[in-house]
Amino acid sequence: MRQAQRDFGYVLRSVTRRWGVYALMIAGTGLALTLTLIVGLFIRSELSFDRFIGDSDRVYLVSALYGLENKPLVPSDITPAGVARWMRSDIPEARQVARLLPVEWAFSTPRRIARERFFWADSNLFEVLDLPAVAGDLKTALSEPGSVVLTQRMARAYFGDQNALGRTLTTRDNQRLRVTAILKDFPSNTHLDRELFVSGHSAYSVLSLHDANPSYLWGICYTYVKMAPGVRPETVAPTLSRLTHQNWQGPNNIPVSYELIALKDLHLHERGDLQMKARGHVDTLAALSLVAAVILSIACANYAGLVLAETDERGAEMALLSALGAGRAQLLATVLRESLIVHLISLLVALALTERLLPYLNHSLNLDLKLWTSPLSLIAIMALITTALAVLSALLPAIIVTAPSAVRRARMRTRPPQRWQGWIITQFTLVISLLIAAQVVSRQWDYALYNAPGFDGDHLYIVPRNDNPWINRAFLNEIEQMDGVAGVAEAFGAPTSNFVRPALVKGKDGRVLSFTRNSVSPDFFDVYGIKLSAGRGLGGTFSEIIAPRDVLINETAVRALGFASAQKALGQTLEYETDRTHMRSRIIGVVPDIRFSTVHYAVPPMMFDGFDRFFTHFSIRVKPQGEAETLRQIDQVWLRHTGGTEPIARQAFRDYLTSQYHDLYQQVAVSRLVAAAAIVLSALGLMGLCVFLTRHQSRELAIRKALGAHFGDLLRQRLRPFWLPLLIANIAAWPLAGFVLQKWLGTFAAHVPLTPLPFVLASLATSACAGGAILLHAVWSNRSVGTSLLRQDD
Amino acid sequence: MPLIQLSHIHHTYAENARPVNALRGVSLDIEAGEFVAIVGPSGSGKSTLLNIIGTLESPSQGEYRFDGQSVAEMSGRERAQLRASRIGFVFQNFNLIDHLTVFENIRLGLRYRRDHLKNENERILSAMDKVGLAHRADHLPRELSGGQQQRCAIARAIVGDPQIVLADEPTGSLDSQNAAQVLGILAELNSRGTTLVIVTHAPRQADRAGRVVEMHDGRIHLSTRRLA
Repeated sequence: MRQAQRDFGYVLRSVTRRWGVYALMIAGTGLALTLTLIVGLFIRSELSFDRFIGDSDRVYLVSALYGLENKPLVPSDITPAGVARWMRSDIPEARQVARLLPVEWAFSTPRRIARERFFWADSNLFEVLDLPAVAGDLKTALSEPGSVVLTQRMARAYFGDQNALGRTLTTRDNQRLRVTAILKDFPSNTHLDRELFVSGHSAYSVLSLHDANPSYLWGICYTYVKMAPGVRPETVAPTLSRLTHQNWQGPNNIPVSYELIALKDLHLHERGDLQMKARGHVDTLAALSLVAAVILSIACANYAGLVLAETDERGAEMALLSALGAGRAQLLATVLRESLIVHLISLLVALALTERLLPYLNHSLNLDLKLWTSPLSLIAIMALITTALAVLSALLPAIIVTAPSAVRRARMRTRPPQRWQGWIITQFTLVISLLIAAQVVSRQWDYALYNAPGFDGDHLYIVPRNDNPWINRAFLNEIEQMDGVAGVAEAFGAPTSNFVRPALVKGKDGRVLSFTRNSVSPDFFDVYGIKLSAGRGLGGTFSEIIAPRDVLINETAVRALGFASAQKALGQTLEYETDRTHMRSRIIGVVPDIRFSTVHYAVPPMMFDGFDRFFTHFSIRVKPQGEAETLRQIDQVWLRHTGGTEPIARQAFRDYLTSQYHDLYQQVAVSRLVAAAAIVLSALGLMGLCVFLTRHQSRELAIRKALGAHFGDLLRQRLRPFWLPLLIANIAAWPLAGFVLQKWLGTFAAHVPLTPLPFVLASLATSACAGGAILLHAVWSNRSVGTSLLRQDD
Repeated sequence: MPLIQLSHIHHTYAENARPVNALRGVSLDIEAGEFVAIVGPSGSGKSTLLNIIGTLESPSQGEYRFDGQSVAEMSGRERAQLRASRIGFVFQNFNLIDHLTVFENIRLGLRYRRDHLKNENERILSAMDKVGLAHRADHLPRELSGGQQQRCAIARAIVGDPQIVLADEPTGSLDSQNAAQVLGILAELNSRGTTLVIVTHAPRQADRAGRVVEMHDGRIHLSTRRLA
């Protein structure tokens, strides 16, 4: 203890004596530990998704795979309602099966009226999803029609501080729902995106409707199954496929096969269509871990570099201690203890910095990272990392500074710049690579958001239609007349999904192709600002389940069908199977490739018809002038036509699209953060290096100054050690970053090209930063380059 | 017109945040071709005066004219050019650059001149020859003796044919034999017309000068000329 006190006092005295060097050490190491902490918290959050649900390792989401056999299948998180029924009756290993059907309705209490996203839920839901409750009995909570279970947060929103249990929520149709249980608030790292669960036994529930009509088999609900202990999900999926083929009565978009995904793995499972929340990706976590390791290595090497910069002084000190009887092991221990104390101070800095940064990070990345959820394990892990870092950082310098003076001199005989070149090259390579990566990731982000859709998404709003067609008609008629509205269109699914209704099209050579069938109103393409590639648009809409007389196809479909050009496709007959019907339609127009899904998927062959029975969304294009006022008026019109019972669920297309790119957004934010941190760390390292080189070069610079060198000459002299490493770093970084980014871009079906521009800009920026840091230091230290070094005495 | 004209020069610098008056109203004229020795105890301001003459430091007060031109009115670049082309320095601890060879160290004396001289290599070889180091061109400073290192420094100072050579304790780190050799080279230089100003503690060296300036506490205490 006394030894530790003495060491701490010794380090403190060193810190005050050489505060500049220690400030660089603590700043660099503290920053690296902060980033490591944040990355660690993020990874912990990603890996613990849905772990708050009991038995999350044996509860599975049933994912359906659609498409043609022997072709890449499209996974979807939703399944037909019948899947649960078949599993309950014919798969005994499935102990419990429950469904969630996502809907959006207006609810009211005297305290609040709001349009709310909720689930119709099977009564046994909580036997499958073991969610923690704070009031009520979850086993029976959804047994009765008209019962509702909600979270504490929702209970507070609708009932304030009153006990919500037994109270009622009123729906837009004046149905009264009784609160039968209250759930503990969900953590943010859950795939569940709604906090209201209404009994599916209610007569007006869509689940009831589907259960009453076994031929209604379109994919509408999330199906969860709790398996008997020890049952492997792979054994169940084939049985489910067989049951599907036996029981199928619905339209022809039959799931080809199934996959059962354990809840604990769901968040990092490969992408699926119609997932509740955008998922993370294991590659992101791997990349983050790698980056954290690299940043720690930089900090480690920076520390080692700064200690080595002090070699002469420390060497003399060690020689003195040695003369006083200290052994090599004791000298090594002195340097390592000092390193440990500096790193522990850095850890405190990192903890404080993380505490301050987390609110901003949580807000900007839509996360809910908490530092002190399990303080003991956090402190234990960070202490371990810090100790390892302290030892690794100080080991090499310790060996050098504690070496006998002759050995030390031999080791240090190399000219300082040469000794440091490897490290400068590594730093520059990393910074250039990260800058290239940050630019390419940002460009891909911009591309995904602005270019990939293939239409102008600005000032475009999506509004889900009301269930009442008269309200929809009246709303449409009124907003079409508004001065601030540039156009209104209706569509089934579009622009929020690509995979709504497949259509199997027979190609010219007899091959069967999988198209997506989109139903849109005639003015859809005008509202989206899409000019037809050939032909004309749709003339009108129709409501009967008959073959559309006219259809439009996209350019991918033109190619898939083997037409030489869009013009050649016009007037041709399209034969296809959809809605259990063989249909023939005439191609009257071709539209450019537009994208209703993320860039993770290729644009599929599409057909567009005017079947209006199942239109789901309004698309409203608003004029930029007075946009806010127009939106207010639209909201009022909606409220008026719905009798004030249902607020509008309006969403800007850009916001919708951004929500679809949760993982990409995180990658953008993280790559920028990491690039910035690496640059700061490298700048700190570079400054340390400048201090070191200046210390070693100051006599030389003073001599040159005496011989007539002016500031520019001396600056060139300072810059000289950096040019060659910078050049080598570029030669190393360009192919390295190019290879990694090409791999990364390859994970997208559509991506930006890898052009030389980001590479050139990264190199220029790195050169400018390095030059700037050296220039700043040169200006700062110029006065000290002078005569005092040359004179002996006065 | 004197080559060096110093009028009422004061120089103050900070040491441990306390002002130190290194020079207190020094006035001194040095004619072209003169050999001046500046002597005095430690801390008397000799080296500061030499640095001001060499334009390495600027006086806090007073006027300094080099060959009639006010040094205060020169830009930093002009002062650097003055040092590069018209002033040569010799230091007590040689101040050679460790990682450059003898040849490269001497070439530094020409490196920063804007008026690039012709036949640089011949000039360097000639300077090496003058100081007796022609056979050591490719050696590093650490491979030379102290006397050889100082001769190398002298070669570097004279390679550009400066008007004035300023030597700060040039023999302070040498044994008597090497000291005599170095002083001989400097005297020889002066005899060919180069102005020479040396700072020294050694009375014998001062005796060889045409004028001895004795400093004490930042002031010129005595200036005596030797009769030719």
